[in-house]
Amino acid sequence: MSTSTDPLLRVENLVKVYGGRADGRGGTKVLHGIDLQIGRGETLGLVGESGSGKSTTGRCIVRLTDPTSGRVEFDGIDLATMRGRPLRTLRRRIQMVFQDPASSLDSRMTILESVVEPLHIHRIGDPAGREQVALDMLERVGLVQRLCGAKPHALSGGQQQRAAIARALVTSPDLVILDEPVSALDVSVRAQVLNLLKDLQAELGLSYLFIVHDLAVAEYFSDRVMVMYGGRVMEAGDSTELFRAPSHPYTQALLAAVPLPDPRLRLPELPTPAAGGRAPASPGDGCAFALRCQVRAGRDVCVTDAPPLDSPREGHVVACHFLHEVPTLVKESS
Amino acid sequence: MIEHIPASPGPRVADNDVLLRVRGTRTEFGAGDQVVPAVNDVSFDLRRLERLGIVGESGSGKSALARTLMRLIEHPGRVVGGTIELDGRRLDQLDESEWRGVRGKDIAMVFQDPMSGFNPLRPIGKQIVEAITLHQDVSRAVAKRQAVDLLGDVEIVDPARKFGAYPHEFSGGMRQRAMIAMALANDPRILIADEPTTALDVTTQATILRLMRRLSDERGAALILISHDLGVVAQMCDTVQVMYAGKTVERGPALEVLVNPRHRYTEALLQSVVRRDQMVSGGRLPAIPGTPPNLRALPPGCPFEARCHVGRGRTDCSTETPRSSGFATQHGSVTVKCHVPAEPELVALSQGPDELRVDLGGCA
Repeated sequence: MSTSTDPLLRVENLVKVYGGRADGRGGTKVLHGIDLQIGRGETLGLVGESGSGKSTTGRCIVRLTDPTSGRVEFDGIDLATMRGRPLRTLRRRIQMVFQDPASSLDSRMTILESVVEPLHIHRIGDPAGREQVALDMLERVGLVQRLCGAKPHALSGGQQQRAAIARALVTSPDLVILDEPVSALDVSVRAQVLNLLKDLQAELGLSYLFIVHDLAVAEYFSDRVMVMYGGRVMEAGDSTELFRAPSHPYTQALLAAVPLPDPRLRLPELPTPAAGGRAPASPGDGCAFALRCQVRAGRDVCVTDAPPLDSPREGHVVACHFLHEVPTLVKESS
Repeated sequence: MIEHIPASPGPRVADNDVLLRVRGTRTEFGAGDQVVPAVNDVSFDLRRLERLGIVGESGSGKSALARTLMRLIEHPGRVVGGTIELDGRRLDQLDESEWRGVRGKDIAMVFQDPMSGFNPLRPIGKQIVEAITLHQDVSRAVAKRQAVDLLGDVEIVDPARKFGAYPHEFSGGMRQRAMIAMALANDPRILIADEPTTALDVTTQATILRLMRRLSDERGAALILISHDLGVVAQMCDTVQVMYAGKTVERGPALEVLVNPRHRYTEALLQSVVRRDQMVSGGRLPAIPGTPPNLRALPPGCPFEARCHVGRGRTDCSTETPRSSGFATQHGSVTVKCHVPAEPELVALSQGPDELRVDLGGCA
């Protein structure tokens, strides 16, 4: 039995290959050995651009896709190879919220039916009491009772996402994978949903894996952050610290590209990664960012050898061969 | 009801050099009691070389406005009122065949999804050649040379070889570059870009924005940038026009609207956006309650009233539609439709019936 100081989720050397033969050769490797941990009540932000592998990591953890190799340990139990009934039982404790709320709501069911359904599936509580449990959860996410009998199409995007959150949380999970939960919402309702997710985390002691491309939201929402690129971890550490002083050339390029909503603060004319630079599908064993990196300056080791995970500070890791050459970029405090 | 919105764009553009004059534009979708007024009496001026950002959420009418300017509203949608003048020529009175001479020539458009702008079955270069020969009397050989030059101009590496590539062979960022190349093929006077970088990664977005800024300046095109992203608009535009429920609620120089917002909606929107340079650590975000109103049943008064932390419950806000009022600022004039605008210490220059045609050009 695990103790409460152990991380709730521990992922080790997670590899995912799409296509190819059964032994994994010949396919496209989209995750090159990811390690991560999430503590109880903690939020880990997973940031990166499209193709970085952040969503695949989330999907491997809930087993929406099967990892090719590696260990996914949830509360001391290895999930990566689990099948059948034990897996279904554990699924109650790991839930997922997607970017498009409509995708997790059946368009022919009422909102209440959609939230009751997971209770039936997992046989939680007595059948008569399930409706009340669902209604309580819907109230908790801020949906007025009048909307509970409605079909999803009658709700706004923000209301649909609240319903999807209620459906995910009604089984009292310990870990919730949030895959871009506010990206599809109107700007004026994003803050509402982010506040709701924070409140629910505090009330219910939830752990979050927060997959997000918006770096400001990642910084605000996460305790720790992991930056991914080309299926590898570039940098990881305490959120405030990582964003205050990003160490990896990729993290720096990413942060420099975020446009601030203040016309007095123009984007710095930092060299953004070269155009047309899609991450190479299989960059061999080297650094995934090598071909777009300004610091590399043509050196071969970046494309031939995987950079070691350096730890410049306690609890902070960076994968770069030439970390000592990366210019310091410190955010001015506001 | 005609109103004049003179808000000046700031130092980069001459205040009185108006290229496009839009007055009282109305566009509707649906029929009967299901009519949705997507664009509800919008007026503005676009000046030569100006970069205008139109900001709004889904349903604010920003994309419908862009399509209205291009006459791309499809049945059952329809433009039901207003005038659009390009350099003195009444575009709203042109028939479809005349429009074909304007669209892609005088006004060109870049869409969010570059796939939708290209035929997937034909090489990209050939499609740019078609766009050129449609409006210019040049041989195919000359048009091809121009197309290759254009691809080089949008910083596509090895343009002569990429000329023959099909849309699916390009990454999202390259497709958007090619789309910009096609839009610029006939040196339009106005380039309309509808969420041009929303589908792109942030590093790609930065390069595309820089490209659009450089090319619109070099080629002397004014830019109308439609976006929900306040950051993108802040980085690109001289003038910002904020839309809510089909109406322009605030308009003025970016340096004013995004720095000293006066409309309570603009103010709340700016506060609710998570910003890296103003991090609220651990605390709650200042969220806007509620959701945008149903356009089919717009409440009387200000459309933002029910969500407004200042105006909610006030009699004037809930019963009277706010009129435009103008403010002179150091960056140019700002117009706001709000009964209780922020910064009341600033003296409102004028407040009166919209028909009065308040012209602030000289006062700013």
